[in-house]
Amino acid sequence: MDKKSVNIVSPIILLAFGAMISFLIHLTIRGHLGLGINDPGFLSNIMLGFLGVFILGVWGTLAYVAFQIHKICQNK
Amino acid sequence: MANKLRKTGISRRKVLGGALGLAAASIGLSGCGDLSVDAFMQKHFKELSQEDLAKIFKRLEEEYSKEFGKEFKVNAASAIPGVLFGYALDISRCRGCRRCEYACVKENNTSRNPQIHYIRVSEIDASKGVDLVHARLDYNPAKVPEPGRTYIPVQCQHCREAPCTKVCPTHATWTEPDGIVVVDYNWCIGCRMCMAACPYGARFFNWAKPQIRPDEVNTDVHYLGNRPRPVGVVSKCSFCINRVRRGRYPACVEICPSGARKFGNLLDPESEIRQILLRKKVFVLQPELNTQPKFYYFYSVGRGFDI
Amino acid sequence: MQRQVIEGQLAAMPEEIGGKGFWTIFCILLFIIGAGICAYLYQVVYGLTVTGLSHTVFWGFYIMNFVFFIGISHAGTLISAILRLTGAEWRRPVTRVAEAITAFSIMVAGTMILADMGRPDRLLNMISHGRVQSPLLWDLLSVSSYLFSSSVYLFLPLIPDIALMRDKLTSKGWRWALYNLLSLNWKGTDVQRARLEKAISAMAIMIIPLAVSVHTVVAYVFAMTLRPMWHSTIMGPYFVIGAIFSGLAALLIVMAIVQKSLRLEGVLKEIHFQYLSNLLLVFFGAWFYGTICEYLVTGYGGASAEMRVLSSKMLEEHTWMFWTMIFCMAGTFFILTPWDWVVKRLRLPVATVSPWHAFPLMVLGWVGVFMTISFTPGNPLLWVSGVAYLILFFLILVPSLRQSTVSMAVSASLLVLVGMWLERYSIVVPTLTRPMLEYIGDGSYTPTWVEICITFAGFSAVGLLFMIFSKLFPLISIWEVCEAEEDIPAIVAKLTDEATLPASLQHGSLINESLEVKSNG
Repeated sequence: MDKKSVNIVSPIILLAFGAMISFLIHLTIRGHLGLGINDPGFLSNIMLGFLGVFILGVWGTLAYVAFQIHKICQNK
Repeated sequence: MANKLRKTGISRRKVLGGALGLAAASIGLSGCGDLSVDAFMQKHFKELSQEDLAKIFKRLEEEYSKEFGKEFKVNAASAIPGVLFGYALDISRCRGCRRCEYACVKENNTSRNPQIHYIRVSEIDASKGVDLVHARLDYNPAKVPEPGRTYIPVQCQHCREAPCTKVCPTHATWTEPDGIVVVDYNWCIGCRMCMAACPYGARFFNWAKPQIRPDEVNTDVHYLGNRPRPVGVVSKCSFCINRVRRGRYPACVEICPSGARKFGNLLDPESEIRQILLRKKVFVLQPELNTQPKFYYFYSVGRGFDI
Repeated sequence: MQRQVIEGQLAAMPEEIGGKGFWTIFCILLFIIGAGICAYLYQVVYGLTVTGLSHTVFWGFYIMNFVFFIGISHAGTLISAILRLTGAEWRRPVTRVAEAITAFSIMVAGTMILADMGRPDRLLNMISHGRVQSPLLWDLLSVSSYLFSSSVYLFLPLIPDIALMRDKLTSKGWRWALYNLLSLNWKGTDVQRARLEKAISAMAIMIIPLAVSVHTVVAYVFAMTLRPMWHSTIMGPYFVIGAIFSGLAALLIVMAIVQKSLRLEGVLKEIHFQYLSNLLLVFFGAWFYGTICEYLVTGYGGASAEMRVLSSKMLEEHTWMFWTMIFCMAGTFFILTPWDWVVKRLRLPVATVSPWHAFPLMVLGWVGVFMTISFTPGNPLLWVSGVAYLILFFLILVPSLRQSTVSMAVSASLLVLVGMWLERYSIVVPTLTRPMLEYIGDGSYTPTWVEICITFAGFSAVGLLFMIFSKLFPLISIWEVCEAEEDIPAIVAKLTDEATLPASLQHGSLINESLEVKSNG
């Protein structure tokens, strides 16, 4: 009997995606509230921008993969 | 089947051994009050309210009195506005007696075993000027001052562009508004990245639980300064934050018998330190690194031969 | 028919793997890991003073192993992602092992960092109050992303194989339930395949810059400080190259073990080892180039702080480690380069000794040379013995080791792994032994049993995780290998298809002429 299998992988990926994005936002906000950034200014903002774009790119791809896996599971 | 049984048997033994090990470890660890739930849930120092601080101080005072059998007083006196502390060291007057080194140890509750000294005095051949390359830490302190030798103490330079605070991953070390670079021992994760970044070797890691004899311990402590440290965190000279924020001099400045150490408010044009920066030829260690230390060196009299 | 046979053989592997040898090694590895855990608990109770670390040399084995394991993890990325994207079809049987090594070595690298921290109980501080300016936080972001991504990248091509395994099972135990859960309704339809290809391609494209960033930020932990021979602009690229280099070597060794122990000579062929060895040689060249850049520039400049560190590496207390590394890499070069032509042309009197005899000879020779280096660095006899050894090496040992592609690859890879591990040591420790304020005095570092135990436990953990993986999932990507027969002719056809050429070249083109000649002649 072929039970329809539950897609546990996509939710895990999306959870991790959510965690990483909230972590990035958390770092940004905390930084600009004065606690995180010890030497504020130009360099910090460049770093944040670069890191943010990079991590978004990486995790965005993972979210895309989660979507593909979801579709595979539905056989669509 | 027999293979599987054998495998399970060994795993069971391993689990038992692991559990016993963990039990033993937790018995050992439970001696450290540092690992309580309160300590774990503590917020960052800059986020704590006065009540939170009071609670933390009470907890710390209980810990310390349990460990040393004495009444402790923990405070977190904040920076005095309009103050930026600076330090100047007169090399021509330093005799290498190391009283500053030991006063620092006594004042700051640094570990006697393993031994940690925030200040390190070295001896140089006077004809070479300030030659830290060929300086010696292992001179004979009973014979000081030896003719033709100068002595240079080095401690945390409290840099304006501190490379250590730049690299801390958890914001456990930062520069306070009055210029003192501090470490929060309840926040530090012990990664030692700040030690890697510091070019002066001024930061010290507590490799083991610091041991201080109860009769030698200093009970008047500041949260960010001279309170007894737990194991596994970095500590360093704090310009005696406990004293200077309440109008006293650092212990090293007070005890120096030849008046080689000068300390004051860099923002006060009338202060001694400002006069020194104005009138004397001051220099700093490793200026090419752009750390901009607030610890200056100068010669007030000749080159030290005639003292 | 052929496909069914291969499928059957490969799909049956997870259940068939076992026997006395497997379980003995499994138990030994488990024991070593247990010892490592005990050593770590001992360290937790007594503090990091139980290690050989000190005020001057405060980073040692743990950080070194962290860098090393992250380095090995680049095997998977290179093989799976780059070779997949460049259409190198020979990578098909190799990808699963590579991806598995990646995922497991990253996990172990994380534990090494945990072992190094003074207060691991405060790890959450990094997440709640992390500072973006800190290289360690870049590490956290990059390495955690890489761990997750490589796990997903390991899982994606596993889906069709899991479905296959589930279908081939005869009884419905826990295995069936596990495979059913993870196979995600895979039926092999065109729609599903298209989506899987898209997902895998997207991951392959994304994971390459991610892998580069991972080892770059690990390098930046050193490069962002001001210390001599750490504060170097080449550190980022140098670490990445070294990582891929050591990763390839680790992959070759694991592949050889898998091929020999599971008798997969039909799938993991000589040609795979040959191509991987070629890649290893290429990355040796890149690593060697980076090393020359690093040392030559530092040495020529001659700044005093740098010269002290360089001297400690090359001439003083770290000589043995530095020169072992050089000898290992030189050995790799000699073994991998195709000297057959040279030997034949010059009619050199090479010996034919079996690799089993050659390898111990080589080790003995090295021990001799090192002891000479360690005890009398300036001795001219050293250079005589070194040259004599090199000649011996070239005439006897290299040909013996080159007798079989696999033994050549494995011996070169072992040398690379030892050399790269020593290179990591050579990066971390000598700089720390020469503080920037020289009067503080040179430090020294001798690892204690705690660090050694934990190091061995780390290596054992990678092996153990791999063994557990092999019991659950096939080590060869079955669907990719089986479909090679259908996919590759299609690719060849695309390469020679006239319709894909521009109109101007379609008639009278070289390809047409050669095809016509072939069909006529």
